[in-house]
Amino acid sequence: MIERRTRNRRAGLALGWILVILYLLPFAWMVSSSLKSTAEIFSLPPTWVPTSPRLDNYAEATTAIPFWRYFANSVLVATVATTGTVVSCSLVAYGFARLRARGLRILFPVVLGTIMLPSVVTLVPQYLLFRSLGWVGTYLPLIVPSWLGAGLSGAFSIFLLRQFFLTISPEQDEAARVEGAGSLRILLRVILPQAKPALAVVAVFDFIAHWNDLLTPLIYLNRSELFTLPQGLASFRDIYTTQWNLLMAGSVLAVLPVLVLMLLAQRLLDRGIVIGRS
Amino acid sequence: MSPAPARRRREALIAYAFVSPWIIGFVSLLAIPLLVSGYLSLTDYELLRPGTELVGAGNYREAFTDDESFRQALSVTARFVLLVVPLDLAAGLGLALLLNVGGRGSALLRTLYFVPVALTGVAGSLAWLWILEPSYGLVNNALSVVGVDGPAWLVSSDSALLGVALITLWTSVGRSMLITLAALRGVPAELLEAATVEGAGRLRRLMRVTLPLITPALFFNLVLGVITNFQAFVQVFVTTAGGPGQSTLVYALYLYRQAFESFRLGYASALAWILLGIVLMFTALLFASSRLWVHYEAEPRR
Repeated sequence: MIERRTRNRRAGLALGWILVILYLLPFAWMVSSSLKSTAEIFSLPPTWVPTSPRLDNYAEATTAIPFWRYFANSVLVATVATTGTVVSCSLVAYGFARLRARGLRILFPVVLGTIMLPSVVTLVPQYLLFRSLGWVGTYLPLIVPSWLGAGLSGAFSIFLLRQFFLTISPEQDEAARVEGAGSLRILLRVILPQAKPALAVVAVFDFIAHWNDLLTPLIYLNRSELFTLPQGLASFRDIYTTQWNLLMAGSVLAVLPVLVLMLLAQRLLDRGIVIGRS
Repeated sequence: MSPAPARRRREALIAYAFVSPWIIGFVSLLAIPLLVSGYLSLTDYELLRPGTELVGAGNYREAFTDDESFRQALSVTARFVLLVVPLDLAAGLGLALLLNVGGRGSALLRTLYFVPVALTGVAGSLAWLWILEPSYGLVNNALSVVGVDGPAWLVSSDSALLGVALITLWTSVGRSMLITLAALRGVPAELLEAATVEGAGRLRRLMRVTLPLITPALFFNLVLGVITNFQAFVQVFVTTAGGPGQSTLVYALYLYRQAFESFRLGYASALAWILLGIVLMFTALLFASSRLWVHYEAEPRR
């Protein structure tokens, strides 16, 4: 019986590996294309391994447009926004998870409800709001909402963190409170250190969302020096329409930070998601 | 011994202090904009043209009766959602079941499946523009190896939506797999063992124990999938820009154009509220249906 389970397990894993190779073929193709010359890109049948890999594609892609400026802009926006999400959502989730007040019980479902709100509905009025504040053409509309728990993944982050906080036993809370610690200190010294997996999930998801976001920068950023990487790549496509090797090089570079982030957070990603418990 | 009312009030104040960022954000960025957009939808406000009037239901009437692009956008988006969401759910579930066996290297495997999620957005869409290239791209060349003549994908109005759906699926399956997998891991081993002891085979264990217990996660994926894909934007904006011939004109793109290219903000607000109405209806239906098939654990206050 155990033997059959091991055999099933091995078969399952084998199938999983075969499928993942197929699943990642597009990505491999993307990388391989980024190293080809223009002539080889258009050769049939297509080759998998470039006959003479051209790292020049990367150099060309990053000089044809101000690639590294866009990259730096994206780093700035995504980092500040994600920091805002982690900070504000931790505070809010802690309030919902640990503190008691009349009305909080009603508010939390509202938070959940906002996850389901199509963001397009608030697009126009938010634009008018930011416009009246003089924030159009700046990074503020891209960053400030995250500091109010209303970023790209704000409500979801609050939900995730609250669920996780609830699984932390309150004994240490109480011990700290007996020693005179206030709520904020309990959050910082007791809760957050134990919540690293959930915080990592929130940070990674939020960073990826901000890194890849096209809509908000498209609406609010009009000067090309301020463009984020998605915008820059989109404009890149207009210039280099069929120079696929260059486009792929640019895309690979744009994706690397996210990949690195995901690999680093791999172990924490699984532990951080706690669903199905109220 | 219950805490004195003063202390309880203090605790409540502290609680609200912690929650205050969200409250401020909710009021200023959600609640008020929602009301404002509702109001705007009843006007003919255009950013670049002075003189705004109330037109009542005029925008809504125009959308449903005069605006062919609107109807096209609705049709495209509905077909897109109906295509993507079930496939995403099924593939996510299948992969999660496959990867739930554990064993050596399964953690790495899981991460690898999640890699394409990093490619949501412009970079991934650009890559797929090339991958779906009719003559030189990966897909059609792979298909030709097995003797299949691949369609023109994003270049032809017959297959463009399919292409966009494919791009979307490729980047989203990893996420739904992860969520489903997390739920699978929450299935108590004792229940499965008890079922095995009673002679239940793998299929019956799956159907009678595992699947019912993960229905909350499946439901979550379903609702989130519907909401997200109703607002699909980037993959279309980057690859087909709604074409060829409006065959991939998703609703969010149409709305964006009305709002930020034509600056018809009143009309765009009406479009937004129509979408809100549709999504809410859909969500309400899903929630109502959930009583039939979603099994929640015992909840304290319901």
